[in-house]
Amino acid sequence: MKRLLYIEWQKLYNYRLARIFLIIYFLLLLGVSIGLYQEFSLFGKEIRLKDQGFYSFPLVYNFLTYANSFLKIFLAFIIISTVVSEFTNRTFKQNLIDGLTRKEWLISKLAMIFLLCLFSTFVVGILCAFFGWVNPSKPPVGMGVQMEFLIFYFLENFAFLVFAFFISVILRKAIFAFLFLFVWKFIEPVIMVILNFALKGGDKTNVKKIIEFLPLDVQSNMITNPVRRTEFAKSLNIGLEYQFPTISLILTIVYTLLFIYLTYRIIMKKDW
Amino acid sequence: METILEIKDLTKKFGKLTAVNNLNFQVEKGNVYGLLGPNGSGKSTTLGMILTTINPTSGSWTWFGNQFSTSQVLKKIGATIERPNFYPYLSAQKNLEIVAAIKETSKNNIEEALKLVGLYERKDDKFSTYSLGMKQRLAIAAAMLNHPEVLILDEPTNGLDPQGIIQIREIINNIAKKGTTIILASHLLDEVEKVCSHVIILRNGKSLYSGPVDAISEEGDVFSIKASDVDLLKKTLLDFPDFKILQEFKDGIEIATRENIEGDTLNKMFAEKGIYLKYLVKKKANLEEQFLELIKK
Repeated sequence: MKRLLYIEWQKLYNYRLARIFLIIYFLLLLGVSIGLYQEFSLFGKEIRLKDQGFYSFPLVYNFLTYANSFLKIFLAFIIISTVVSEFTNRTFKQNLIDGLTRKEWLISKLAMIFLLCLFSTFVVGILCAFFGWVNPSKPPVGMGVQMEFLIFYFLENFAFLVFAFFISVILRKAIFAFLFLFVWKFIEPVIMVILNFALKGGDKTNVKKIIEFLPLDVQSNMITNPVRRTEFAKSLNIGLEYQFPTISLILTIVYTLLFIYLTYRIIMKKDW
Repeated sequence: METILEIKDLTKKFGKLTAVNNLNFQVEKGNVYGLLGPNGSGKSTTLGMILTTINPTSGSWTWFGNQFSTSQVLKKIGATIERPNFYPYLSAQKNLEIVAAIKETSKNNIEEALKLVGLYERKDDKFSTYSLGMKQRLAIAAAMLNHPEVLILDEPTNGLDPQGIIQIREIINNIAKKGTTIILASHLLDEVEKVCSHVIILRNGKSLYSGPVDAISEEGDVFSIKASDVDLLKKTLLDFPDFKILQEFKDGIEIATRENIEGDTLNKMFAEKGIYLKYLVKKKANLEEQFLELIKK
């Protein structure tokens, strides 16, 4: 395993594009969390998120994981460009010839994805702990409450990157892989609109359920929009009490395993 | 003789096309093998299968009498395929560090391998800045990193300029002298003749001949000859029924003789007929003949 990680790290760290994106990603992680901590104005209103409890336990976990989860596209960019380059430069083929097995290659990529997600979760975890500690809630809430959002955050990132890895292996062209990821992100809502239209006047609660089972939607459903947990949202009747997202969690894991398996099949079966 | 590689009934089908068809051959230790055949004869597919990048349809092969697992074997051999494949954004040194990690061999071998192919001075330059000849040499350095028992080279001189070709051939000859077994795939007869002791001739995925290069040229020779008056040369040839015209060039011809004959004898025979050859090269017989017939079909 150490050998595989060393090989993968040499490939990634010395790839300037990947390194730049990694640094930008890290700076954005800090930037988003610190930036939203400041007072800012929206539609002429002064907004102080920290006064709404967004930076106190337990809501800080929900808020910071939600806000930072949008940055995962940067990690996906790194994964797609490095994986695709292994095919366009035919280094994947050369790796096999040099004695790396197809399985080892797959494991080394997954291990790198795992570590990137772990790193991101670690940084967000530190930020949550710091802000939660600086802004004590009234009445005081323990640091461990709802800490599971960090696990959801890790899984959401990991599932998304595995999906990006899967399409990179299928398409093997960076531009197609990006387009596909982009288009897929929009296909899920489009399916919803079409279904809604088709079932005009019918029972639409089922439509919403179907959508919630599509891979990217499932991933992001683990971490709900924290704004809906505020007193303000509740007063507008769109509020939401926190519930442990058991179904989304299980489905995300199932989808991730499925995509890993499909990637494995392609890698093993194809002639390179 | 120690058998290094034994291929049994190897077959690969790509849909309807049979790229390799029931191929059998053996590779013995210390020899230099030429895998010779025109483009599309199944050379690269065969190498791809024994190097695990292509899954065979049927058949099998054993390395070193099956003492090792496939991934262990690949760490003991060195191979380059059609084009040199490296990370373009990494230096030669960094690229070889990755190869060393994959092969689980020491980084200390990198210096020696780079010196072998004359790239040590350029080791810190990015791969993308290399010329094709340098890239090909780096591929050989990577293959030699673990002091392999077998070196597999697929069209190593493809697309190189004459100087590059000579450099690669020198490197191959030096490696062969040290006793490394080499399998060289090529569509160039000339290359195989210059470098190899054994040859496997492939056509449409089938082996036409497999054995020593010398053994197939026991009977008869092939000469390439030129004279100022080509027409007279051809006319005179009719007087020698034992000679057969293989190929005609602009100012010369290639002939095959039925019996073995030395160059000076041939020269004398023509001189007696009043023709003075301005060019005379003796080639390895039958191999040339077989190969030309093979290409014609």
